[in-house]
Amino acid sequence: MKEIIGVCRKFASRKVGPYALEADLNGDREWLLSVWQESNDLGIVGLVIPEEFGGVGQNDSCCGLVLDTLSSECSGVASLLLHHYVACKTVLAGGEPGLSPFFKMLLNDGGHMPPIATVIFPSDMDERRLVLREEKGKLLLRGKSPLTGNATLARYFFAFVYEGSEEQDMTCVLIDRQSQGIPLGEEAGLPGLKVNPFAPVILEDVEISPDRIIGRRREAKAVYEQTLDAYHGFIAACAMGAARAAYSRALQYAIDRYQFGSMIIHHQEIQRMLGTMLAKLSVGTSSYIASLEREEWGMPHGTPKNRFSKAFCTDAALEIAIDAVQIHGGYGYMHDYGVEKILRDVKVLQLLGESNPVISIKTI
Amino acid sequence: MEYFTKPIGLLAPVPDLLRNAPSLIKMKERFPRYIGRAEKTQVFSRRLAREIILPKALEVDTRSHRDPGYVDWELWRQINRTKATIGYIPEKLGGLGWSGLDAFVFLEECITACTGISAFFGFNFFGVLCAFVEFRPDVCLKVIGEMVEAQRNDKPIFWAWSITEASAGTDAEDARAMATMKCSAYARKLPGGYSINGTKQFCSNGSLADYLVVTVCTDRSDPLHTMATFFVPARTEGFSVGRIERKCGQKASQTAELHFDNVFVPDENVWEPPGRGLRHTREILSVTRGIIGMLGLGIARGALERCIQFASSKKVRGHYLIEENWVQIAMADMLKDIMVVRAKCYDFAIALDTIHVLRLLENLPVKAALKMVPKAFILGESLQGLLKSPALARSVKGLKDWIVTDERVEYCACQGSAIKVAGTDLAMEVSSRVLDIVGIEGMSSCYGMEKTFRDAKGAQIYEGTNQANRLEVFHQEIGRGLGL
Ligand SMILES: Cc1cc2nc3c(=O)[nH]c(=O)nc-3n(C[C@H](O)[C@H](O)[C@H](O)COP(=O)(O)OP(=O)(O)OC[C@H]3O[C@@H](n4cnc5c(N)ncnc54)[C@H](O)[C@@H]3O)c2cc1C
Repeated sequence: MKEIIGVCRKFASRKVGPYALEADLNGDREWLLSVWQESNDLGIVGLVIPEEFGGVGQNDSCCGLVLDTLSSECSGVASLLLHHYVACKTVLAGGEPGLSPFFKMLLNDGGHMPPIATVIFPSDMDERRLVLREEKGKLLLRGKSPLTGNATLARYFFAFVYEGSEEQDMTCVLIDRQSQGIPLGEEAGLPGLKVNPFAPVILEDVEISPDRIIGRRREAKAVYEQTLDAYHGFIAACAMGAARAAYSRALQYAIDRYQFGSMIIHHQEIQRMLGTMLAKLSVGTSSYIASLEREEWGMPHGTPKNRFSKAFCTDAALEIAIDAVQIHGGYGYMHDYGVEKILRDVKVLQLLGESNPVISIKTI
Repeated sequence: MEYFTKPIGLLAPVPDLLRNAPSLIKMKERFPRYIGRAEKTQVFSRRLAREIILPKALEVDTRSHRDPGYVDWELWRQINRTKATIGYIPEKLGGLGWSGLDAFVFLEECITACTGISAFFGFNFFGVLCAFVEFRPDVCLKVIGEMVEAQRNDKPIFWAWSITEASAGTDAEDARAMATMKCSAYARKLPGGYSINGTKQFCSNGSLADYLVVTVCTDRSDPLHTMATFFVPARTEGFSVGRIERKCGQKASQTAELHFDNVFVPDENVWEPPGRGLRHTREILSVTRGIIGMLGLGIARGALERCIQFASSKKVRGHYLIEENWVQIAMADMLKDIMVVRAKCYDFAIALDTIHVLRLLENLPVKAALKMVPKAFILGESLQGLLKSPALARSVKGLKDWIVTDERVEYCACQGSAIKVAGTDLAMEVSSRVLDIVGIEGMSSCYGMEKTFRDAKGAQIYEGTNQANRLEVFHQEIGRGLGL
């Protein structure tokens, strides 16, 4: 694991970091695909898929640390892998007999470059509900999906959809955009994670063949919960990576900048801000790693949960990013310095998955 | 903006100034014209904000993102035709005769619609204020005359105020800090004037400016005692605009780097001599920090109004988002903070009308002159020539110094600092919190809420960072009394 993280760190600082700001501005797709290609060569893309199916087969905390590392250079790039990982997690959660065929697709049959995948999560918002219905023996999917990460890049979409009005009747289906010609809605223009094209997917009675159902029909609730759980854990990891970058930039700037007759790091208030940032970073990081590892602990009650670490880490990351910009003064507000980008990225990460107030409410 | 349908805030039909600031009801009994005009200003501003600014907010933000030098001049002209660009000039002379309270009311509505656009045409006031603070009657009248004329001809005149340097932001605003300020720009005395060299940073509207008011020291080893204030027309040889910054938000308002290469400023354009520059800065800040507090409030209000519009038009699990209990409590909580900060903002605005520079217009001789003397004469060259006489200039300036004492400047700076921190921290908090309510869907750029989030951060930084403003409050209100 240490080795993988090391490789990833080198890769991220060589291939990702130096181009992240430019890509934030221009959404450079070619560059992003070349990052994808190289990540694949390094084994990062297949991290979630077990070795027996041709992947690298690492555990959740390793995936989390990889995302954390990438996110400290560019959260947008990390979010590309984040959504792909979660798609792989869907297959894992669905279990047999889908493992072999679905992983084969995701690895492009061992071919050159694996396709990008993503997950369409169900939305609370009524106008963004996908409905699956049966008509003349055919399964048809209809609706406009919620905003989905990787949307315009992905070939495979794993969608959690309802069959009736009952929340219980959830099915997970796989849509192949290439062969099914699925149109996309307009890109959302989110303020952050800009290299990642978030957009709704528009499904107009798309036919779903029975072999494209993950797990069992109408019984995908558990698959959904496991997938969402992984999503939350990985979002937390990305948030901490971004916050780490914000912190270290702010620390460096506080040493370089003079104001009021001394390096600003000599002002206690700046120390307090940096100290608080570091505390949040440290607690957040251990919380997300612990919750990603919890299955290995076997604790029945009070084990850390990914959704809590998602809520804590993204809130903490936002506070850290706000203060990091503040420490940079006017420079922090300017694109060139790269900290305001972190602020924008983190705000989007915070809203991915379930929103933090909703997490608290649904927990009880 | 199709989701903007409910009759709240910007879309509320009636003036609700007295409802929002109930202490003004008592004031209206005593000063019916003063408060009545503020109510009228609110109606006027809300209409301008809703009909002219709001529809353009997202488009201008996007275009300025692509090209930081983009300006929508047609939009400027539309705003200009309402005279909002010269609202603060007395009615008699062609403006709208705003009081401080009117200006704050105006700002609240416009910022609610769009911070960037409002800053684009509104920050012009900061530059003009520089001239008023100077209060040399000939200069003031000349400035007013030009602004009025330009408004009539639909021709923009932009002012910019530049104190920040690459290595000095906080240091340019505070005496304790300025003692150790590292200056890049400096002015050298020449016969008949000064020559300025160096670079200034982050100047709002600097790239559009016709006129600049710049603080520059004459001895870089002793900025505090040699800081001076210069008036520099942008066409002066040696002046040029550097980079226009690409910002996180407030994109419709340009922020530029300014270069001075042997820029000659004749003695008559030295508005404050070496050693008095900081005093000039402080006087401006004693007005503008409160304004930025109001700006923060407007951002918060804009964010909350958008959130209310969104939540009352989108359904979740069969009911409107706004029907959720936690959403209602969160909204009320934000509104509560907006109410509290707003009360302090209006309090400050009224203080400006009572004990600060705007009081001058209420002063008997000024009032009488405005009433009796014909406009053409006031703005004509013969009066300006007359007012150049040093004796007269001194007595007018004396009148101003009598009203705007050093003590009052420091007092207002401190009050303004408190409001600035309260308003802009609220902007950041509310603009972030509304996104937590509307979620990722509501964060799409088309709803404008993510924009308020980006806009808010800048306000915590300029006109003194919120840390610097807190220190200000400490020193004035606590430290000084304890001899610290
Ligand atoms: C959008 C925008 C528009 C602007 N427009 C103008 C303009 O029109 N004209 C103009 O002159 N300037 C303008 N500015 C500049 C602005 O006023 C400065 O950015 C601001 O004063 C902060 O200065 P700085 O950026 O140099 O930060 P610094 O002063 O370098 O501060 C860096 C950090 O150190 C902290 N700090 C400094 N001293 C202390 C202390 N003693 N204790 C604790 N913390 C401390 C600050 O709070 C900050 O967090 C603008 C800036 C922006 C972002």
